[in-house]
Amino acid sequence: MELLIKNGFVYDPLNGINGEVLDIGVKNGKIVDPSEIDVSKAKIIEAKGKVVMPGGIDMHTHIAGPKVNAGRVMMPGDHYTSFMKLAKGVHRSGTGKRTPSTFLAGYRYARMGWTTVAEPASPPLKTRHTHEELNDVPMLDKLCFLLLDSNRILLEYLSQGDLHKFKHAIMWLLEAMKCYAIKLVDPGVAVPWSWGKGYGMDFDDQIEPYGLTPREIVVNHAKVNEELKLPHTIHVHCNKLGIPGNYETTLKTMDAVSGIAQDDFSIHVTHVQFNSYMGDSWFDLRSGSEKIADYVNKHSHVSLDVGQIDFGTAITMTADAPFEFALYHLARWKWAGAEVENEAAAGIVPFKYKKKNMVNTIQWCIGLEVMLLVEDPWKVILSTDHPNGAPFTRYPKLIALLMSKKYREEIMKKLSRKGLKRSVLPSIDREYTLYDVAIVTRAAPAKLLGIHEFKGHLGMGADADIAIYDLNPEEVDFSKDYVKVKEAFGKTLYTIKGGEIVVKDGEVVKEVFGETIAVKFKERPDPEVVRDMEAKFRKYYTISFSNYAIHDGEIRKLKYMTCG
Amino acid sequence: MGRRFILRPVKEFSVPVEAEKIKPDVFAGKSLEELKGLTMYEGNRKCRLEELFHIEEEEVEGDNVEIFLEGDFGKVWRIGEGMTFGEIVINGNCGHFTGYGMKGGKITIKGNAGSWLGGEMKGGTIEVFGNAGDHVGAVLRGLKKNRGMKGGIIIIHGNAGAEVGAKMSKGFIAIGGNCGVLPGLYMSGGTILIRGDCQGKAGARMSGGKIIICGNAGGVLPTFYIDSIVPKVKAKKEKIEGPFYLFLGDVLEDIKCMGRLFINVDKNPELVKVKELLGGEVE
Amino acid sequence: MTSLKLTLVTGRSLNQGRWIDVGKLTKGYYESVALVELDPEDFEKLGLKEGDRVKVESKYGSVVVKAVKSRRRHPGIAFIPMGPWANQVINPDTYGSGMPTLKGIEVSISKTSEEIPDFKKLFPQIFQPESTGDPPESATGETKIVKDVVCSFCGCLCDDLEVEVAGNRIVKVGKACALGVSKILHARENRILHPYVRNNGELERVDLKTAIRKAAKILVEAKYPLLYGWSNTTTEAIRVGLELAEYLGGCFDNTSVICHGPTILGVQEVGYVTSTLGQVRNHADLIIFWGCNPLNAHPRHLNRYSALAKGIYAKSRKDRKVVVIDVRETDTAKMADFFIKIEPNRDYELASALRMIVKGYDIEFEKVAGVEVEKIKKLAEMMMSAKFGVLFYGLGVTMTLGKGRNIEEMLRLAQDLNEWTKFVVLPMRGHYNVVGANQASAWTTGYAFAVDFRRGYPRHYPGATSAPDLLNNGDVDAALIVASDPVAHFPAKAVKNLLKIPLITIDPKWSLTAAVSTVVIPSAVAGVEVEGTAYRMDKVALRLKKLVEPPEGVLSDEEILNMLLEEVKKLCR
Repeated sequence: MELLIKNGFVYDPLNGINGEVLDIGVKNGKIVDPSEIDVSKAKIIEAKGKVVMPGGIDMHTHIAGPKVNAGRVMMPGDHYTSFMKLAKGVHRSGTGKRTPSTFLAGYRYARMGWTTVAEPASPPLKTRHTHEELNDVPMLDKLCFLLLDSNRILLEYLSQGDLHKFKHAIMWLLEAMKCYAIKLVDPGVAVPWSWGKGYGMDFDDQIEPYGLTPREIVVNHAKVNEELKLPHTIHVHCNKLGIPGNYETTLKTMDAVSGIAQDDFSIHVTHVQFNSYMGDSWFDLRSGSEKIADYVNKHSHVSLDVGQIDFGTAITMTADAPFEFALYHLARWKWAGAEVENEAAAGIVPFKYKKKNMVNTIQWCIGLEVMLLVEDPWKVILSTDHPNGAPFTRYPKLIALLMSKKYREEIMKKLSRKGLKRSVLPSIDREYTLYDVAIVTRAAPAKLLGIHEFKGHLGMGADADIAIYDLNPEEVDFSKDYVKVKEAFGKTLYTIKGGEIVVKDGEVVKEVFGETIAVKFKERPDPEVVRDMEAKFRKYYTISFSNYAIHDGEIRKLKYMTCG
Repeated sequence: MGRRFILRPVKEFSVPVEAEKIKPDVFAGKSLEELKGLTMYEGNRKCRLEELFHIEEEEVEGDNVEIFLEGDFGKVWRIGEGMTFGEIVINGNCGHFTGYGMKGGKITIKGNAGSWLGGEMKGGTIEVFGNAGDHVGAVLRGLKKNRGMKGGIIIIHGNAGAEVGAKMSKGFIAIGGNCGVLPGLYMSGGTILIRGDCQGKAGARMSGGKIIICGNAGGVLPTFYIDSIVPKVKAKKEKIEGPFYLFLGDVLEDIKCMGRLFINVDKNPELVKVKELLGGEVE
Repeated sequence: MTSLKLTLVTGRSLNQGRWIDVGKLTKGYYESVALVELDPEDFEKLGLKEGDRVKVESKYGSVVVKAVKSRRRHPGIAFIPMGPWANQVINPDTYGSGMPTLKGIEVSISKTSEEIPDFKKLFPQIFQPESTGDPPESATGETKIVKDVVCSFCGCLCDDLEVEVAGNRIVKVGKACALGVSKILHARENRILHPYVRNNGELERVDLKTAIRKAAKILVEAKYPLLYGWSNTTTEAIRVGLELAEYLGGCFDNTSVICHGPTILGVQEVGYVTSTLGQVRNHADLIIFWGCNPLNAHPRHLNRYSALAKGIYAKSRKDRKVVVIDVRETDTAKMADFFIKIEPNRDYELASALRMIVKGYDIEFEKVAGVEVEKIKKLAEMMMSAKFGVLFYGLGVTMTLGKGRNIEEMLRLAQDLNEWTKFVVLPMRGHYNVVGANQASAWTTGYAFAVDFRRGYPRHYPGATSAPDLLNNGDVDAALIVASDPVAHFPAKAVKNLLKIPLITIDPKWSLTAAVSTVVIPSAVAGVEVEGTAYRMDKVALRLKKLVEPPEGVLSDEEILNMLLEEVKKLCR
């Protein structure tokens, strides 16, 4: 089907387009010059007075895999009253808000105009499961990040100083698990956690029995990342997450990899809000966002996503098992912990962020502060670390908050005054423009993930992933009409995925399945290293090495990105 | 003028019928014709009310809205769900989730009730002359304690199943016959009276409230501590003759042990050793 | 003594497990399950000799079976292997949990001269098919050895099997336990080779299209069909089943309801602390088996994953302490360092007591659950002082009074122990892909079992939308059974109602359910003739291999279900 989207206000930062009125042509799933469209046969979408953007990209959202599924089972209350009914011939049914079932997750993203997501943490042994779930996430292109920091085989190579084996093992794992990027979570912590230790591990602490530090883990992964020319940088959940005073660890982590990539990003620090705390304890907790933003402003090798919270119940789930255990003591309700042999450990704890709670207020402020204090929007991505901070369905609300100081002030009236005093947000006037919004939700994530050739923009040859919003930038006052902004970003007039209209007026009208993008290397992993891995595998694992890797046919629509 | 509606099933149901619309709140202010067209579900089939039930209307004294269900409603679920006023009388059996989330009014069931009767109840009265299933007055799984029964009265003349009054914080449940395991599970307030026997594990994880077992309790959990023997105990306005052991617990839920478990002494000879702990002699 | 009051426990036995894959309509199966194992002293008390028959009576029914003198002592406990004879006397009540009560039932046993009912007596409409063995054409061919084959029998999902294949015939199965060998070696026996539709009380052969059309018609005309089973097939097939149930507005439920459904109920309330089996093998120095008997139900468990396995830190049996908690001294109990005999139906009490000790609370009673408090304290101390403890539990805990709440307490116990040391809990899952059914159900609908779709979206009310309850109440008007045998494994009351409605079975073998069905469609054996994913008891997903071709004309569950879904969609338009 051919489409012609006429007269919309187009926001395409990757091509420098800031609200120009342009026509967009779609043919064979790609963006083409409007002149190529046969107007007599094409579907014409009149977008006069509406905003047209590339489809949104969420580079850190927990929507599929063993951890998420455990969250679903553990929280039936999230499913009893939040659901979508079957529409025969159009879309499936589903339940859940914080842990939506896979079909519902896809539909909900599509309704907001999002078209690509990254599932940010999967341990190799369980990645087959993650891909089976991703196969059942419709409407979106998918990437999966591989959890590697506490991998026994890798740590053995690293502690022996065998960087060749370290690099080739990483290559083999990324290819075998059909993943896209290297994920490090509280680097190294799953090792002491096997013995119940590790809470509060810092960047330069020794990890027994390897004699390695998280610093060495992070730096060496960053180096390999660079050598392998992976499209994304290492994606890091820093040590000491959630602990007062942790901003120092975050800065150390960022600084450790400066200079590894020449003139480019060498680290992406994820949900940095949880790692931007000043103070020695919860009692004197203060926002450390200025410290973080300051560093990021002065350096060019760090990108961030914020992990913004919103008030209400969230379900925290991370591979930071000791942190989750600690949170369980605070929240005192449910806790799930799972360890994956030789690879990782995770935790799931439902948690309620309360408006009048000082700590939660500071947390809420920090996320927005980081987004507003970092000057270059190409470095800072909007995320809620769904469902840790808030469900991803809050993005429209967060966009409205970034664009309107008035809205922020409305909300701040209801928050803890003590918390506000310890935060910087009340004093920040900056308001995002629509162009900024397009950067932090589309253009920048595409660039940081390295998928910007085909995604995140509306130039010729790009995949036709487009969102049309009911917003007229000439009529709406973004600083005041935050209700309108919230509504508009909550349901698109049209969402187009791969050239097909999939959402109209906020309702799913067609179900499509996107691609799962995985990396592949020009260089082959050294067969001797693979043999060495197999020998270790036999000692450490309870499955056969030949059954470990995932085959191409197991993934619904696999697309390879070749590196090197 | 009060209105009374009489419904009769047009056939024997082979699958569950969902009738959350059968409640005074929905029936009030509607004509008989409108009611005949109310949406109901027979299994997965959407139907009109009249395809499933004959419906008649009578005028009665007073100004209430009454719904009389005549016949076997054993497969009809969610009758009276969330109702706030009025009366429902079921002259037969009824299915699951009857009176779930009820806020006021009265439901009388002459036959047996299914499971989840009066779950998450907030007010009103339910009386069952036959037996009830499991989860009487209990909340759905996985929800916090503050979602349990918060008020209202449930009276069951016959037997009840497992987990009576789970997560209850207020209200009164009386079982005339026996009950299944785990009555008062996670209870934090309110009263549960069991005139017959209990299958066991009464008061598991309770942190407040009162459970009275007049028959055999099926054993006492180790998380309860004997406090005293009392000659009688009060349940609402009724004085029940004992003597009763009074156990306090459940220590695993709350170290303060504010939950009170009254167990009839004579009907529980296997507990007689407990008297030693009170410093008395075992007869 | 003319009669004895005993407590009945039902469950797997090695023999029973071996025969279910050869075929349920065989004499061997009948002989392995139509019996009751009695303690030698109880056997004497009843004045029995080997070969005598007894009548077993409970509040729920009665049945005549062969009396067998047990090799072990377990006075007061009687054991009948799971199957249609056990089902005549077990408690169909699920107590609102979705799971019938398969253990801890009071029975009265007396010697009798009555005959043991055979299949025809129990199920009058049973169809006795011609027996099938290896197909003539598969005799020889090129021989090859396939390594690292994933076994498709139990939740251990051992993936180191070596299978010798000659042409299209399985010649030898190496490294597997007796159950795995039976499954793979006998994959071609007692197969359904054609589709059938019941006509005038008899099953008649039809072609696949006719069977699919008839099945689709039954399902579409039904107002509330039940789609049940799902644990002995690939996740790919399960996904289609979910789509089918959703489209039909029926109920999708899997065999967790007679297995570890209570585990899921427990998780729903408190979460859980667990790990993959490798963590256990490598680290665990304290291994507890509670209400499970791996030597019978998961034969390679001890060698591959637990007490006898070679791990990184725990290298052999002597690096570990093994504890068994059960109502009778099982084979596994014999090899334990510490055996605790618990009173039936008192698992909740024992778990509570252990938690109390871990938290430092006093216990007033001298005994809890029939166990001296001193013994309980000893166990608690072992748990708190372990470096890495693991609790494996099975149907002995899930199926007794308390059900999901029993598991809740064990999960809480593990959480409490994590204040002291590393402690994880693992359920001993029975079928090789019941976990896959739970996982696929959860990610597709939000719920792991007992999913109802009749209002157009997934709902979950175990006790009301779970298969045993729906069947006990006669709430469904048609059923599609895939990869399971409820007629063999459900309580008699539920089976009675199941036999009243149109029944469609998709199965490789002549299960009891297939033999009494309205429509029968043969399918290929996953893991032998079909490739696909399955999930181990610790939720690790593995890829089942295809070793040989299925019999001519026999398709995979996934293919059949897709055809059925298409036909259903056609009829609905």
